Amino acid sequence: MRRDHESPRATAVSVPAAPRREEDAAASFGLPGPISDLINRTVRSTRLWRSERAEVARELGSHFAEGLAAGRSERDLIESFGDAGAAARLIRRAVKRRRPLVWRAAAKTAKGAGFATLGLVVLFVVLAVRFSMGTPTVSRNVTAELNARHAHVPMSERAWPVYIRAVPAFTRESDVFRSEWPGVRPGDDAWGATVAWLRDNAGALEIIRDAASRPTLGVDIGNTYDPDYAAAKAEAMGEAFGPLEPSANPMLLEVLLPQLGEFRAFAVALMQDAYVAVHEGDGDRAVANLVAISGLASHSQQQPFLISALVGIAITAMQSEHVVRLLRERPGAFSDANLRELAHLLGSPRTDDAMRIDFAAERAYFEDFVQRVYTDDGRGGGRLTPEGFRLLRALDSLSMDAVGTHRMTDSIVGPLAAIVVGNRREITSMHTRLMSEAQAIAAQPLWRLDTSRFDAIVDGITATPILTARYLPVVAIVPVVPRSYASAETVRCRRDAALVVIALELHRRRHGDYPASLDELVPVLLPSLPIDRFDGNPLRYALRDGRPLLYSIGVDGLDDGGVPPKQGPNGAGQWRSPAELAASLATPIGRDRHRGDWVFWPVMEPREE
Amino acid sequence: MRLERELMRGAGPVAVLRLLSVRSMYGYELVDALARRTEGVLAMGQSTLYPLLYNLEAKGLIQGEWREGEAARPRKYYSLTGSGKRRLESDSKQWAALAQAMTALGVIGPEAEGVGA
Repeated sequence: MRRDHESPRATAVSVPAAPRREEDAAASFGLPGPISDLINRTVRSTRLWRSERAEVARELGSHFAEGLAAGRSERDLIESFGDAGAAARLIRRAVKRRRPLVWRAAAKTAKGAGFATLGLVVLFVVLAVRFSMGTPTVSRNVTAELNARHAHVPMSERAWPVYIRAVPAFTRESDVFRSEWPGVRPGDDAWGATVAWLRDNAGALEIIRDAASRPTLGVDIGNTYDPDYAAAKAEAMGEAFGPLEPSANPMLLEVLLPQLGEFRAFAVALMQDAYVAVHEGDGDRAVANLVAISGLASHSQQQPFLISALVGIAITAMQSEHVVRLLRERPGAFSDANLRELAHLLGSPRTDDAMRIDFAAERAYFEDFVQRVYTDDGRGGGRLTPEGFRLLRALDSLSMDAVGTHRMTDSIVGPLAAIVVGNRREITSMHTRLMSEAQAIAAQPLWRLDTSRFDAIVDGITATPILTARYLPVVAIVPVVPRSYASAETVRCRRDAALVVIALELHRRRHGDYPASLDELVPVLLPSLPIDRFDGNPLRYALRDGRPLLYSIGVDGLDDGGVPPKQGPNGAGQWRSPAELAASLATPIGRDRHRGDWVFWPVMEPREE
Repeated sequence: MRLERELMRGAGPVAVLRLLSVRSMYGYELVDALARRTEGVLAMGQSTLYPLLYNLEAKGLIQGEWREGEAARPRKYYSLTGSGKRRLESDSKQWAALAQAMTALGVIGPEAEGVGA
């Protein structure tokens, strides 16, 4: 015994090779079966690497062999060993600490990643369950509310059923004319065909004039086409037209407004017919057409959507521009009575109404959208729903066709989107803030129009893709509102200029020449001096060689003495924010477009670069 | 008398380091020496000793080496490394300070007689 305890340095003779398996390691000591079993059981329980198990088995075998050699009994040794399971756990823990640093680092990383993944999976499952349980509460039927506004008007008095009767003529008509209308004049290639088409379809134009004279449009909106309209289109096209599944409460986003496209075509045809009329010396027909065009613009506005307002404004802009051109073309075609009627028309509340931007309708549009996207906790809050997520995805791709597809993707991406996209309260708050800014913008005259606060908010919520996604319901609906107001204001300026041109012509007829100042027109021919919307002063007027010059200083804010931009006068009439204007004027193309005055009279044609 | 597990956890490693500071020893020899020289106070079975040795080896305080001597049985001898010597020196001072503190408090030493009686 004592000799065994002597220093190994004096007795070591060789370093034996380690057995490769734990069974071989234990067996190499010739130990009794129960002890070998204990060693093998313990070592197996460690679940260490094979080489590590062999090493541990060898050391334990050596230990038991020493005990037996020292005279201890097999039973005593087994009892003193202790619990095999506990020993295996402690040995495993200790041996693993001896493993290479790289392995331990990798193992810890893998373990951490595993826990993190597990945590994320659990979190995702919780989110997915919560997301899938959300359902929107659609309590408001905005479409029905809008349709109820004209429900009391009998069908026989509504304009829309009459307009429908003119639709087939325009459905069959070739686009060749529309690309050049209005403004085709004698001598132009298309003049002969234009006159022929308008003559052949004079009945359709009469129908439009009749419809446009009615106060109420009376179209029932929905996610399907009006059956009479669809039938008229199908008859003209010779094929089925748009049979869709009607919804009792369609969202405003999917409401169809086919009348807007028809109205633009009607207005263009009426204006072109006015050109033909003045060349035929028929001022009454030209005025009747212009009156009908005001009716079309007004009817466009009767559906309180922003797109409807923009169509109404665009029709009014075309009307004001071409009234002036018609007066240049054949002033003699208009009687004094025609001119007075035109002046009353352009200055009428109906024309003013056609240039209105309705913010209340935009709010209704947004509220309808929100009620379909979020749950409603009754206190203004709510979370994104699966249905809402599909709507947002469709809105983002600008295609309603996407709704209802990609269900597998939705189940994975939807719960994550619920984290990214702002909740109901947050989105509503941002929309209210933006609309409040838009309302403040609409209270300013154009020459003091400052959209910087509104633009800063929009820039803030679109600064990154994540933020854009967070405020998607707002981003997709609101930003065009202030610019629409600016657009309406510039059209008012053009309309005011048309009123001056009419007054100038009447003055010439009464006095034989043009006035030296616009003051001479007030109040007999003009109720007041029209304002230049780009600086708040009266529109500029001068006589050059006895001929009138009428202009606005234009978007650059400088009086250039009636010299238009190089590209023509219309660029000077396009509103730009101060920052946009500065950026534009810093480039040659921008200067050619915006540096100069917006000249209304004499009529100047746009020039290409 | 056997020590509580927590006390054993603190005392066991320094006891093993102290034994190995004299000369290299193999596992059974360490078990035997600990039981004999401490009159059973620091006696530990294989299930305690070998994890303890592997931990000390993982920390670089001791190193093992298989050798075959006159007993014709391979034995794994453990010896102190440089780090092990420094750790033993540090731990010994701490244990001395602890013993002094415990004596001052009367936990150990002449004044401890009758404590808990």
